[in-house]
Amino acid sequence: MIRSLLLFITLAFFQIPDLKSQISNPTSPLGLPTEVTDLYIPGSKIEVIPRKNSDSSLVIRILEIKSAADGFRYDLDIYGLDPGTHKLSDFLRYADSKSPVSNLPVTFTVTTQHPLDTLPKPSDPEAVPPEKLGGYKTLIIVLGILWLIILLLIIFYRKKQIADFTAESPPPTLHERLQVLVTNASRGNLTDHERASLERLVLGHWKEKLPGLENLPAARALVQLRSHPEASPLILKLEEWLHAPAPSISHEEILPLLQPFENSRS
Amino acid sequence: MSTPSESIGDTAAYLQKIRDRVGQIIVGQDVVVERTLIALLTSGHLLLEGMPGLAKTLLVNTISKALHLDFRRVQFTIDLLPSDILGSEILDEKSGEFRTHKGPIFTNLLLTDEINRAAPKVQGALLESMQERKVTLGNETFSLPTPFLVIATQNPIEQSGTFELPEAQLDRFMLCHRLGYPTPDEEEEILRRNLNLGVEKKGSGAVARTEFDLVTDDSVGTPEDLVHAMEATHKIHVSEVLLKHVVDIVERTRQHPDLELGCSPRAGISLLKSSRARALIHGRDYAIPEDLFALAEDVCLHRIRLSYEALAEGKTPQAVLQQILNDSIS
Repeated sequence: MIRSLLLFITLAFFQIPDLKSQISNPTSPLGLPTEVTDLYIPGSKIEVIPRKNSDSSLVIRILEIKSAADGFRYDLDIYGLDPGTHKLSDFLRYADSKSPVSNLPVTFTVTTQHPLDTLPKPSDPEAVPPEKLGGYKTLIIVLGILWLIILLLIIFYRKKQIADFTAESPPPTLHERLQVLVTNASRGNLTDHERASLERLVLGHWKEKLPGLENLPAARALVQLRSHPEASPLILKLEEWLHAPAPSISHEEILPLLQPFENSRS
Repeated sequence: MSTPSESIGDTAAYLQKIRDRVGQIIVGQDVVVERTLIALLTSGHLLLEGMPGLAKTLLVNTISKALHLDFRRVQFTIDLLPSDILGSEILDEKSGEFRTHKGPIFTNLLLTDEINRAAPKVQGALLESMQERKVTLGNETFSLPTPFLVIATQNPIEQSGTFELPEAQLDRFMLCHRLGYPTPDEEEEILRRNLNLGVEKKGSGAVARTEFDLVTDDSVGTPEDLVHAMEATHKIHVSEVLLKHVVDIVERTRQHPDLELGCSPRAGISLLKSSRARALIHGRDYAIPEDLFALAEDVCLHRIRLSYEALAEGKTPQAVLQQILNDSIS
């Protein structure tokens, strides 16, 4: 009787931790890891059933396996992903037979501050088909052709504009302007402004025509023109006609001197 | 050809005598003499720009003697005060009253040497008197003598210790002539004349004679001749066509892209007045384009200012003005 009692006590002493580990149901807040140590599971070694999808409520990782009588003790690291009480046996199986662990009554409770079934579940992302992929080479070629066409249009349009502009308003040469004024003078309808222009253009004509005068300052060129045998007859008479208070030369006398400019070509 | 009137001929001969008289003393500054006479005949003022030693003082001294005019010279320095030129009121200790002391500005010909060395307030005082031809000392306003002509000289502005005259004050000068060095032939003649100056005995001693000793007190003509010449200048005919030429030149300076500041209306007036005087000096009774173009640089160049872009491109006011004048006859 005593022997039986001692055996019972001894067995009870050794079985207490196993029973404790089997009976105690660990809890953990949602999403936080919890370590469960020395969980005795009889039988051969177990492993965690691999997750096939994201629906699994617990994530279990075996940290250490220690030998025990008729089984093993396990240190587990457990994450709770769904609030509620979950049976650990649903997530474990025997490594050799791949059969589920049926004789494990331990549960794992995942707690949450919010009432159950009120937490929003992440919705499944909708599969968005990608926009049109590829075709970049074609696009580049099309854009290149467009750019070339626009460039050519701009070049030809501007060329045409410049050509039109030059065709429309070619700047009159000194001789052309002189011709107009001399023609007006022969008709006797020169304004003071045109007379001034006529005089300046005649001076400019001789300054341009006579060698060595072109690059001289205007003041020095004028001094030389007034004494030049070829230029001075016209210039001096023009001066008198235009500037003298009582010119001795008349409009009719000055016209023959200006006549060569009317028919001259630049 | 129309012949100038007799009075114009007489006046031209009188002016030629003055030029000849100056030519006896000074070699190769005929253009400066002409510009001085132009300023005198038109009551303008003349600014001479150039290096020292070009006989500026001698020139003005000779002209004043030839015209029988009073002449003073003031050397401008940094410590000069307006009262040193204009004059001031001085307390007479004996009488206990203020006595007016007139400054050197009360003269006919005033040579102000190196005007850009004086402080701006002195320049301002002088230029104001030049414009108004009056000076106020204390409570009394005095008119300056007639004729009154200021011939100012200035060193090139790059030299240190100078106060550049602002455009508004430069505009008061009718003409600004840039003095050049004499030609080698003229230089030789200057040296030859200097060799023959000799020594002047004074009392028991002697002193080497200078060109100033050659200037005699004999005047050419009378003060009335100068008045007649000034009147004749105002009778020189200016045609409508010449007015158009003046407007054209002035307008071109205002429109030119290289110029930030073109010619003022006063520049146009000066160009016309000086052209009249030049025509008279050359014995004509009407002004012609040659007069305008000959004087354009002296009248316009100190009144225009280049733009920053033109300065950055290395252009000069002379080159731009020459381009304007050349463009006006092309």
